Amino acid sequence: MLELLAIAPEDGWALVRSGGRGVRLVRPPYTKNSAAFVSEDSVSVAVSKHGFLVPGPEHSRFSNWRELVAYLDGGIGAARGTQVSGGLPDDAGEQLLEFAPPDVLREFLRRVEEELIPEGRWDHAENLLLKMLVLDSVCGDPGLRDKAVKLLKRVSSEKEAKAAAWSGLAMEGNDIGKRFPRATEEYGSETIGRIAQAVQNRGMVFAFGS
Amino acid sequence: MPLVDLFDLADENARRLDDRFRALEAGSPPPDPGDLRRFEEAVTKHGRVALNMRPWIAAEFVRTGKYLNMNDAVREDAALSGRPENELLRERLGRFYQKRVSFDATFDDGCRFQYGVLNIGSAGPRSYGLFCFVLKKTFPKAGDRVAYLKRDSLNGYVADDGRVDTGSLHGDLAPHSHRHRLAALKHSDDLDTRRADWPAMLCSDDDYVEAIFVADLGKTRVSEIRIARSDYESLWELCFRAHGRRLSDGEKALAFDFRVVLEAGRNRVITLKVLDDA
Repeated sequence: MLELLAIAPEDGWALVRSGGRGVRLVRPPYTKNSAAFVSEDSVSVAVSKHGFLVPGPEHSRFSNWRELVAYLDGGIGAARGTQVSGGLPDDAGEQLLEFAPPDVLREFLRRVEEELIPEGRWDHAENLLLKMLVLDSVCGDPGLRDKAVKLLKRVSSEKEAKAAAWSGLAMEGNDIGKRFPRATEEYGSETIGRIAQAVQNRGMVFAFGS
Repeated sequence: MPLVDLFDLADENARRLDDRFRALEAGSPPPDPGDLRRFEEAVTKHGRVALNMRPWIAAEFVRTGKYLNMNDAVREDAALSGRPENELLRERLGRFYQKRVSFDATFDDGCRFQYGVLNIGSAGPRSYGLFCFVLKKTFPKAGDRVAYLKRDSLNGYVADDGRVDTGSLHGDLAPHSHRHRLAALKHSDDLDTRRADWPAMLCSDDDYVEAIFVADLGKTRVSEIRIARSDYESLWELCFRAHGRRLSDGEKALAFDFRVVLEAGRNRVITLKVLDDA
């Protein structure tokens, strides 16, 4: 059982007693490791001086973290509602990019190269690189610009190579039985060829969001 | 009962702090005089009043230049909702109502008090806000009033039933001119730590010298916003992730407020300074 002791609804911050294990500060981004332990005295300071509210009894107990986080996250828009016209922009995170200093941009490029591309997260990589390449801060810095262009080419070629591999699989109907004998025996080569063609068309194995 | 002037109490305590400091230096065993002097110098040179703000409060302050204390916020809510201020205050404060109201009612201008901390270079008590707004060295100006208290006012000097221990509080107050002395007396036993650790020692989540003040706060009174590197990096992580997936409302709100702060930095309204984590 989680007891909500104090909440700052506009930010989704909360002080929470978790079983007998003391008070934790919960705040976005909500991750397993982000709920740090704080002192008992923090609750009175947060409420008396920092604008946290004591929740009403109907919102003070939650059976698990998922339920609590849903409550905190779901209340932010309403708490800010009248003050932020049109609500929170969906692209609030992406909008930060134009303010990113060079060291942050360099770190993003490193992560594109070392995380996104090897993991095959090409859409993520492509989206980020295309947005970076229209920034003045990137266009005006040959080091950043060249690296971004190079990575974008790499993303395109790896995407194409992957698509070609799937395409080859789709076309080589007669070889499917040799490459996947058990699957062919179970489903037939025509079905497997159709699946390969579908994967090639959508660029990913699973049809997320469709 | 006549109301007490907190700032006059602090002024009255200046001589007592000097006496206690001299007694400390002459004590047995005396603390390292070099450390004591260097710590006092650090506080005199780098000591600023600072306020930690949550992202929403920080963005509002940057956008509007307004920083509301509890009573101001309740007054605004009452005007908007038509509900009585006292009812709203009770609702907000719950079981802490008595402590807050008793403390405010003990002092002249108690409802106007604003609360910060004495900070010599840390990102402040981050449990209450990622963004640490540091006031300029020129604070306090003529007309501002400020007093420093050895510990948190409500947790250190007010009982749960609302009784304020004005005797202890009086002994632990310092005027601006003696803030270094108060800090040195408080930490005289801790000064053998590395000097680089002094900012975190003086001001952490759980322990700080509180600054209580009455002043008009506006953006022009702020010299910089400090943020811990780990918090700064987690804010940029939002930007990175946002290009690959949809953010939750909490993440969007955080990104939205961070953008406001960054925009103020770009427009040279306020400087953002990233500090390595203590």
